[in-house]
Amino acid sequence: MLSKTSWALAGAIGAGAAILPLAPAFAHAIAGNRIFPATLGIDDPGVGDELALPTLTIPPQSSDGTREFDASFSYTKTIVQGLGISVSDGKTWLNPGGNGWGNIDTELKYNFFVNAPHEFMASVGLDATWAYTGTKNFSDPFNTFTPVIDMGKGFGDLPASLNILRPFAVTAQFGLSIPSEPHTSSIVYDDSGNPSLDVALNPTVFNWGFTLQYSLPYMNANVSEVGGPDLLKHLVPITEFAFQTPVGHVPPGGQVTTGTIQPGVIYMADTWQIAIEALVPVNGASGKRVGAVAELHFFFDDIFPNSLGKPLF
Amino acid sequence: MSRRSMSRIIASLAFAMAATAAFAHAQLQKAVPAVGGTVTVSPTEIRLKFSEGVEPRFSGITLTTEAGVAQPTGQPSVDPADDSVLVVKVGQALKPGVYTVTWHAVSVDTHRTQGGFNFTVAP
Repeated sequence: MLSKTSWALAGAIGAGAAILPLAPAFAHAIAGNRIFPATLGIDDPGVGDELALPTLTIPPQSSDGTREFDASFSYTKTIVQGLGISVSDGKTWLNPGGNGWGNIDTELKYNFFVNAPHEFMASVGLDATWAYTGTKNFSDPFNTFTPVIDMGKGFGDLPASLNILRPFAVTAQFGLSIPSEPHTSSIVYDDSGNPSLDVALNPTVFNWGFTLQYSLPYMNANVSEVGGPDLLKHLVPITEFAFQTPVGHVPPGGQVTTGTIQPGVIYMADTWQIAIEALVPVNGASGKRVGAVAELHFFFDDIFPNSLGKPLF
Repeated sequence: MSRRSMSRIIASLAFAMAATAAFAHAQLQKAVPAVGGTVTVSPTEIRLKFSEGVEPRFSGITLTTEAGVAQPTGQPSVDPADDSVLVVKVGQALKPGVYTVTWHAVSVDTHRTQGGFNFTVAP
């Protein structure tokens, strides 16, 4: 027979077990009334259990005429609420040039700030791309470490007189990619078989970008009912801007900012989303002709709320 | 990874997604009175239709005037025929003016969402 203390303890544990499943869970990238969708050109400011698979990319054609197609994935697992680790990788097909895997990329990311009334959130992360984990000639022979900060701000806190602007949100990302080796040396042979030392600089690159998005789901829930087909209530028209600026160990003539402007649209369902964007190169160094990127994204916190979709601890 | 393997993974995820679509963040789909809408008769209740079932014990609706004065409402409940509809009774007839509905909802899988909108009672 259980003592009174044991019964009390058992009751407390039972009550706790009954209450715990009803303790509100947060995930996605949510700040107050705002849900920030997963974006393609830069990362969103949230940390959640999610899988992007596949991300299919046809980059703007390079100036030498090589055609490229990329397929990649990214999986994020939360460790504790607000802290997650992601693993990403992808395969590239070049024509001409064959195909191969890139180096495995990991990121530890922490959502350190959320201001619900002002729909603002921010995260910091450390991204690492690991050498010798991809196919030779398709991956760098050195690690690259990138401290990153991600931010998002919705404009739902604007006064009612500016209702038409309240569905707008911006997100931004800033990161500095630092190679573990400032240069890579290799021996190359000319047509006569004479060896020479080739030294390639591995530049430190400032990655920066932002998105401007207009959420019809936000409008429907917070501003005015969106009429027409149900499809419209799920759409987020978006334009992303993603740039890379070499800032250190830059080879002569290489200090040019490259990047893409990415107009597109995101369809947000309850447990997944799909996005498609054009890739418009900002200059000749960024490529020629317009490319495209599409991504299917699953929110595991919604699909598997009691297993894969919740933090480890 | 071959394209066939990737297709199989995507198909498996699509199946999982379809099989578990009842669990997600509760997002407001429709409201009565309508979000941003105008009514000519004071509503007797506020009905919020969400994308998922909600748990009324952890969800709530408040009603305030444009000046922020709280209006009396009943306890939140769900429609007996549809647990994705959160309902509160309005405690008294609303005078003409702009009113703000502020809600928070905990879906049956414990995810929390929140929102707010205005509606107008016309003279």
